[in-house]
Amino acid sequence: MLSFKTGEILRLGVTNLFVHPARSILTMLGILFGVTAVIATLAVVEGISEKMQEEVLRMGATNIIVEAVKPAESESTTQTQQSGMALIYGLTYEDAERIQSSIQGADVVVPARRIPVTARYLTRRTRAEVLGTVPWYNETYGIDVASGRWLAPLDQRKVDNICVLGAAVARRLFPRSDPLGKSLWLGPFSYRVVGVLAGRGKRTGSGGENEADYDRTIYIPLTAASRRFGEMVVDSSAGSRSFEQVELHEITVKVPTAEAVRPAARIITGLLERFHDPNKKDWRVRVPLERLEALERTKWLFVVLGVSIAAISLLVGGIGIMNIMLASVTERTREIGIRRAMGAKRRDIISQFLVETVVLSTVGGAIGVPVGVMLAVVIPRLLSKAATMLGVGGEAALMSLSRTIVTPSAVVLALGTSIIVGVVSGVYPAYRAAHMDPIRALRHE
Amino acid sequence: MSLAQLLDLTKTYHMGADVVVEALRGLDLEIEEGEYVAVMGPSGSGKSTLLNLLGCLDRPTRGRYVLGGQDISRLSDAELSEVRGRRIGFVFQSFNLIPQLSALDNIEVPLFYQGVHRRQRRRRGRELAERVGLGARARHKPMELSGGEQQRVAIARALSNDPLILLADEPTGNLDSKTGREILEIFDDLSARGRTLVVVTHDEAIARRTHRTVRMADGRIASRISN
Repeated sequence: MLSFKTGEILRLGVTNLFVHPARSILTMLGILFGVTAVIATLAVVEGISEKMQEEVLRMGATNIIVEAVKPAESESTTQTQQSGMALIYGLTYEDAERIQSSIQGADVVVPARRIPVTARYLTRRTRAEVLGTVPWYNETYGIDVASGRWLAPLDQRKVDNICVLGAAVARRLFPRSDPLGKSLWLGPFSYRVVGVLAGRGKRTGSGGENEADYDRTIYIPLTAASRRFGEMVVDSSAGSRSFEQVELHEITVKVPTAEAVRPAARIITGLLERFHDPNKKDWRVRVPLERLEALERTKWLFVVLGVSIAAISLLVGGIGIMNIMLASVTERTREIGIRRAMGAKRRDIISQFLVETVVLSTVGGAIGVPVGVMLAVVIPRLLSKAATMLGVGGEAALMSLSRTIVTPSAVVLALGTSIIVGVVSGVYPAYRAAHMDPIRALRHE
Repeated sequence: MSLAQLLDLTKTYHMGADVVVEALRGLDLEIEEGEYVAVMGPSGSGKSTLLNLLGCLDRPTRGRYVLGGQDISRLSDAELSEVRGRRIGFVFQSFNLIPQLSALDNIEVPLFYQGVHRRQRRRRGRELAERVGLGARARHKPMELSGGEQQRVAIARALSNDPLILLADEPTGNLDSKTGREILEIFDDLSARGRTLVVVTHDEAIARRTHRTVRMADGRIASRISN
């Protein structure tokens, strides 16, 4: 009987809403815009968050990256100048071996050296960074080869002068020809190109000094790097010369599971603390997973911010509904009296008015969802247009908005909220209606 | 046993802090099944209060009201609604139809709250519309009906739940005399079929049609005259 009555009361509510169609539609708009705002905001936040997550995951969620850091203390600089010696710092092959043997299940320990060079091909030249590394570097970083091949173990053993070019370097040096098989000059040495990578774009996030531009990197076998370039790095780019002696710039440790990341990071930190000069900290441990978690927290901040803005518009919508319903209750006082005299209980009156507000808000929400989804689709297009008008700087700023994602949970949240708004904004008017004195209500003019 | 018994019924209204209005002061009244009773009296004599109590729209301050063997003096609001819905039929001076509903829908309102199924409601509604002579006008909204037609709708609505007692408050007050007579003929017909009716009126002509006239003054019954 209850379900029978529910259906009947629903029908009654909808019928009553059709008595004043314009009023009902205007009231609905408040909720409609609120839900649209919720969907669009969450879609933008989700889009930004996923983009940033991808950036972090590109570094590998199960990776631990140990980087060489040039000690910043003035003490060491003066020392170098006094002794006329090169600045010695950074990670060593010993570090890599220690890490390898200390961490159980460390899949790959990828040592790497970074050397700034000027790359030349015929008359073209460009500044680039040579990264001497091991063949399994690409397993850890998921590098895409566009043409040719990646470094092979045999290259490593033969200490071959071969290289794989980042996309930007390839474009710069070989604008019109296929670089494969060509030989280019890296400083005083000639290297043959065996592969070209697919473009990856810039790594974003907090910029460290070893934060590399993937596309501007030239990859060579680590053995070749240490044999040809030696441990001494001479950077004569900015007029002055600086000497640095670094064995390894980077060691990447890949552990099997995300749970193993933190303990492994602690062990690595412990090892480095033990074997490196505590007064001259020349290393840094970076854990992409931790960044991911920080990102997750940041995302929630944005979600809360966006949802609060949307919640305000829903609140305003709810107030609109309540306002209209209060007017409607007063207007229909006599009807309420009649219904009460004809046997309607208080809860019948309450449900009659609640149904009206809930139908208003739910229909508003149901229309708001597709409108919000459309807005989410349109935003990136509009912004990309705006970005091209703004030029390079604006483009970078708006790039992060280039993707919007509407998640099912956002839709559920928006719809659920609109229903709740309907109930909440209907409770007070319905209560007022139900608690009128039937005798007075019947006499109401 | 009589259909309705009112024993020493008192109703007091508190209007503001100090003003107390005694609308009924120890009223005794019995209404037999199938009786047609007119209630008369000057305004302020407590006619409306009596009708509200009889119709279970209000509870007495003191005293007992037994309707069809059920003591309703102390029922809760929800229980009173239930009694109104099942046992009482109202006919008002100003018809009191719901404007956005058709005549037929108005007739069905009491059945709606009784949980009667739609199809059954419709059947009963049509039957009653026919009986009060509404015929083809049953699909119209109240605004599109004449006063007489509206009152016919109201009577049909009052009968829809087959009430123990039909209460009418100045049922011809808003009608011209010819239409009023037509409505009263419906009442006579109902009474002849054994329906219990209580009519509040100023009109002696109406009172003469009933079985008994109850005259009220100062919240009490001044006289009971069998016609």
